[in-house]
Amino acid sequence: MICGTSGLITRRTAVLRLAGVAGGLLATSRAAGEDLGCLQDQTVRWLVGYTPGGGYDAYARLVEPFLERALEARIMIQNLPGAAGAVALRTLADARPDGRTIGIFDGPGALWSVALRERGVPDPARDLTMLARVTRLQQMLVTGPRSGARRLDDLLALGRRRRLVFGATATSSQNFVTCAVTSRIFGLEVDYVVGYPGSRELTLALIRGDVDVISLNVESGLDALGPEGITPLFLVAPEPVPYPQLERVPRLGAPSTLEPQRRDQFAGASADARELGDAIGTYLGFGRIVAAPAGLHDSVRRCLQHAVWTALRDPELAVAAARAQRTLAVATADQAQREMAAARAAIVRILPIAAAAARRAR
Amino acid sequence: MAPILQAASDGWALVFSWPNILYPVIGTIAAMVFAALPGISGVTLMALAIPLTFQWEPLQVVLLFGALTGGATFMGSTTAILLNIPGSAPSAATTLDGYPMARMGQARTALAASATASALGSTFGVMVLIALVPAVTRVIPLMGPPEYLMLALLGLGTIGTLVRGSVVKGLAMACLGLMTSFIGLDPRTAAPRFTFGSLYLQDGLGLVPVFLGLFAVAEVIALMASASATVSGRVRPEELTGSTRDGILSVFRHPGIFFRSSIIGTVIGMVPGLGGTVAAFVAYGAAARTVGTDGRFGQGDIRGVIAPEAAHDAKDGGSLLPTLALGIPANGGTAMLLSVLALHGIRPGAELMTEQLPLAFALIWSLFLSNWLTSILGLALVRPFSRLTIVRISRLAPAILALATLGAFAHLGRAADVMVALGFGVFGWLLNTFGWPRIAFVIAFVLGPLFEQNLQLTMTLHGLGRIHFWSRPSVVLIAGLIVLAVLLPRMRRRVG
Repeated sequence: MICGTSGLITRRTAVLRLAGVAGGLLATSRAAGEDLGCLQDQTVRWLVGYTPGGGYDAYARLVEPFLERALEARIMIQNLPGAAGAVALRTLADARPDGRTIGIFDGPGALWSVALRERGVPDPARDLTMLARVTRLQQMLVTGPRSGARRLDDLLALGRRRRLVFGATATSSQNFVTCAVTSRIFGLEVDYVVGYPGSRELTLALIRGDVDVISLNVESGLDALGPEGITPLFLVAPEPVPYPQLERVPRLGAPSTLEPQRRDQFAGASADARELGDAIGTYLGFGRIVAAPAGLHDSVRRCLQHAVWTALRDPELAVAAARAQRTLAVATADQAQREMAAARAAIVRILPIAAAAARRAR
Repeated sequence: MAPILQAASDGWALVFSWPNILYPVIGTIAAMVFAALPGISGVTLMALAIPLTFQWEPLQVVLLFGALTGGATFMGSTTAILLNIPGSAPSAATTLDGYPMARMGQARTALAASATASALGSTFGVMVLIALVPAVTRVIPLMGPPEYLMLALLGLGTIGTLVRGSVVKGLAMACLGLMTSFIGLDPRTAAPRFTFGSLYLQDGLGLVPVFLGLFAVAEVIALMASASATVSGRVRPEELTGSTRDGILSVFRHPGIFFRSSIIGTVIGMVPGLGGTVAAFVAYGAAARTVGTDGRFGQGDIRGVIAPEAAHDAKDGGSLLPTLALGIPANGGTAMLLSVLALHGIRPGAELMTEQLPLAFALIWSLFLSNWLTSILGLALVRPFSRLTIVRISRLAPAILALATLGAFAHLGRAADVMVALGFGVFGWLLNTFGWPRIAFVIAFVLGPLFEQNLQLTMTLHGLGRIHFWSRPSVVLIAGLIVLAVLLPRMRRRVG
């Protein structure tokens, strides 16, 4: 007996409680230990579905040293290009769920492929474990020196005088989907020239005056702005972009960021136009995702999510990314998971519009 | 022009000062060593080098990556000439005449001609680059889908000149090459075509595994089946007849072919997406048309080595024009270069071409130095390299097969590429054995995507009234060249 009366506990109870506390502490420290070093000294394969030099590769190589530090493991980046990233995504989904294979992938692109029921493309919701979002995808509609438009208002005025010509890579590409949805938002009559092999050929087409407007990924398109009279008209981005040259460019995106002063321009500010603006922003905003195969053991999943999050929040990474003019818009696995559900719903809204535009483009 | 020349001089001083010179020299040697393995390109090496450079100054990065861009090309041609292994896709054009020369015991001549044409072609490309830097913004837009379409037609038109024997067989192989090039995603709709549900086939068949199969693996089978003891049929070094001097001089004996190929390489280099393979094959085809079918072209003609080599290296200078001035990469190498420059806070475009012009020229001179360095080292190694052609086939064939399969795998790290290389090896051997022209298949396969994409784009743009096909001077010029290409051989025969 340690103490008397009603508050008394027996020595046995005290020992059991102490043992419980000790056990709890031990379990907690073990879990923490797992979180910190579950893959210590092991080699983790990081799959990138595109060739070296592209945006996904650049992000993977930016994050790699910080993730190595957080995981205390070796990271080996493996470029597995093919089928617009689907080969690497399939390889990632099929990998053994032991934490030693992770990948970075185009979230909106993967969801779009699933919506189109493309064969062989894994469903991120079913076949992958979200680890974090590295950044959002943002598009900007730009015009060239020969269109005569310098601002969004110029383009809308031009669109009232004649049919505009938009250029795109393929009818399933994000640049085409962005063009299709935004032309609907602004009520523009548009013809499409589709089939340019990539964004560099699209940019040249704009400089030559083959087309009036194209949509470019914000980061890769920054280089093209300026020297040849390529002018950004507006951004499709759910969050503000941190580039000075785009500071004054109007933005269309998620509900919280839809700029009220621009609403009047959206085809009479109809509810439909606003809803479409939200949908395209939500769809693109799902972003570039780091993931592992589905079926990870809980401890490994927690460990990887913690390590990726630690790496992405490293202040040195922020400095390196800023120097490379790469935006970081990081999100936890849980947030990425929620955004995936929202992006799926947004696809349901924009898919018929993109499909109708694709039929016209053919 | 004066500021350009001043910046060129400043850039030169940056490269050729101590210890800066070490970066391009080390980069070149590293690129040469790595590129000895088929399938490993400068791009792969750049990707591997990125983590090393995080703490470097921009100048050091520019010097190293300029050298990596230029240093990997020559070794690909060396294995193409000696072993029929195209070290990179553009080197496949060099195998067509280079390897037959090696089989005739003239590997030294072919290697020396290749090194000389490479160095001079690169110099030509760099000179054009310097001359066009002030006018780049006016030059680049002159080329569009109609011009690319006509270039593709010009290249496809060379098949008629290159094919010997049955015209029907030539046409059949060209059609098969075009059809094979259409495997993959439709360029407009991204719908899969001829993929049989396979993700691997969605990007189409890769040039590297197909070429390694058609040339290297097929050659291994042919060598094993042949009665010859060695590649050259000779067993002692003194029996080899070629000489380094002849190879070097051959480039100066054929100035027309050299300049025409260098121009083709530079122009094609400027066009994003076309790349060295198209440049090499179009230059090879143009040389074939000039030479006609009377000579040994395609069977060990030195002109068939000079043309693709000059074009391939001249392309490097041209490809830097849109990369530096407009921030639009012309090929995989320059895309990687842009990515690395961005990591170090350098944005190509107006700022680089005005305030940081000496840095841009440091990159250009580093590329130039690396091309010359590879050629000089290549010339120094001509003699020991040429001895590979007197190694016994029983020892050489397994090594070629191992290199070819390793190269097919190393290119993109895909095991299926090895199977493709082996399959096309058997296919290539069958073509050779039964006298079906492999060259028709290869040219059509290389130019098929260029033809298809630009035919569709040209028709759409013409239909929308955005272009007027026959009002473009460059279209008319290339159309004239195509007509000449068709008529010239007939006129020659008539005169003859």
